[in-house]
Amino acid sequence: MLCQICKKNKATITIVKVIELNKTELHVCSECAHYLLGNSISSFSFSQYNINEILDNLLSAFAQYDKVDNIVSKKNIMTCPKCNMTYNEFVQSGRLGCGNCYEYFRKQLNPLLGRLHGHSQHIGKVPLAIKERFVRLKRLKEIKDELQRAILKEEYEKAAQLRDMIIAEEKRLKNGNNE
Amino acid sequence: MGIMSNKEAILIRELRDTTAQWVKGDGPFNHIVISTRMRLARNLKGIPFPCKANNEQLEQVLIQSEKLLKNNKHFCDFKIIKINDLTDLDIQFLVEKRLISITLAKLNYPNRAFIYKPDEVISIMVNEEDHFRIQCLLPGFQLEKVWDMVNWYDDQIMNEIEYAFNENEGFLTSCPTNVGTGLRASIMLHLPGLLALNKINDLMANISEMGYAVRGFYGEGTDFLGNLFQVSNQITLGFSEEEIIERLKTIGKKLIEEEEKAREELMVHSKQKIEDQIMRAYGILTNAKIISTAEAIDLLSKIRFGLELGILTKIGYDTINRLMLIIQSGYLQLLKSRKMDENERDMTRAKLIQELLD
Repeated sequence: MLCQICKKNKATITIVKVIELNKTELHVCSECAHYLLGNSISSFSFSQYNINEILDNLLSAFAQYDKVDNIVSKKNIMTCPKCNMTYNEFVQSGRLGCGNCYEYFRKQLNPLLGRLHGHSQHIGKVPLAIKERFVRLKRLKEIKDELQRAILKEEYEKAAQLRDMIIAEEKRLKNGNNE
Repeated sequence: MGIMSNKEAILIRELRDTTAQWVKGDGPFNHIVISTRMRLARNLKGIPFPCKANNEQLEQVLIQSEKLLKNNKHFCDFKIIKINDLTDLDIQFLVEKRLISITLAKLNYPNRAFIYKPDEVISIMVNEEDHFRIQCLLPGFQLEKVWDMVNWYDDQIMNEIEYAFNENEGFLTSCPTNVGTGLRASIMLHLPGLLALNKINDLMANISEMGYAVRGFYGEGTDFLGNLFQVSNQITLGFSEEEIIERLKTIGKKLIEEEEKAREELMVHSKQKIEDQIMRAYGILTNAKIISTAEAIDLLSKIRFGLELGILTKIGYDTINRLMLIIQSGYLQLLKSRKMDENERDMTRAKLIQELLD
């Protein structure tokens, strides 16, 4: 059977969506499944469905995805270099192995965090030692975004100023790290 | 389970007989809100989370927490119980006294510990799902105070120990459902009025829409035994601690308001019926010879309702709260210092209730 979305690749994955009594099945290729799991489910409105329901759907979809993926290629098992937790292990247990897992699996985790919390960026308490660096990094990101906008608007003079600010800010951050 | 050391045995005996601050039941809005609780999930930087840590690494976490007690003046009156040195019954008792989680009880990690202040307001579970679970529990509806306390102790720990934290996901936790603030804030409410008038379902739907969960008190599958409801935040990432707490405050206020309305309505339309139910409950509890946990919880809720409405005046909230805890099977057996079968427990429970209500 061909993938019902791209209609090009062979469908290797079945995504089952069960909401209340309505069950729908979608046969897709692994590429489209990736896209679907990363995007469409996050558009569910929290007001319409409870979180447990969404989680259950999600876990069943993940489980399906993983089964097929395992058969297709055993080579691509991502493993956190710090604690040896594999992504499959996380999918099965729901627990991450160490702080580094959040960085190592960020690409995979972000959509999940979005679905769980509606956000993937921490706001709130920051340990004092990290606070200063945190503020600087945030500022740096803002300047970089501004630079992108300036380039798009062809405001090159402003862009040059922003670039210098970025270089200075990055230098300060780097020095801060060495201290 | 290891053989209980003498030190652990003494601490468990102390905990068996002491009354936690929240049990005194004298907080704001105590006619509806029994207690306010918060916990912060924290992990130590550079050490894998308990599910991936080896024995040595878990021991490192325990040593760090022992150092904290030894070296930090704010923790000098705290006590530490090593969970792995306890009997199954002691562990069950700690769960029933609301001191440790079922997770800490059930996980088979070595080097688990429970650190607490003797008034049981502040405590830390060590090597639970996360390295530290810092908790604060007070009577009544006092979210700000509980937050101030748990936050302050968290700061003191941070002066000594570096946590696993990053700029994106905040405080890093083993389960992604806790990441960010690591904060779970909850209030426990007694809502017999709303339940009697069948008004709870709509309110609960609203609460879950706001990203907050409603659970019973006596654990999964017990429904809302004793008309007790626990409301807590589900979302921990992308909102500040203050925002999470403010929302819970709004929910709490709404529930208090609605429960008060329901009680007024009940007193206008079915005063006799309610009084009858309360007095019957009192009659059974002060006379029965055999009573199960579920029946006792149900009747104690009616007596609590009697206090809240001013129908019963001779009993205090402290008595009801204490009874709510000691009627559970583990606590009961620990009080009598022996294992009992169900039948014997039901008889002992009935006797104990009469002693406390007399």
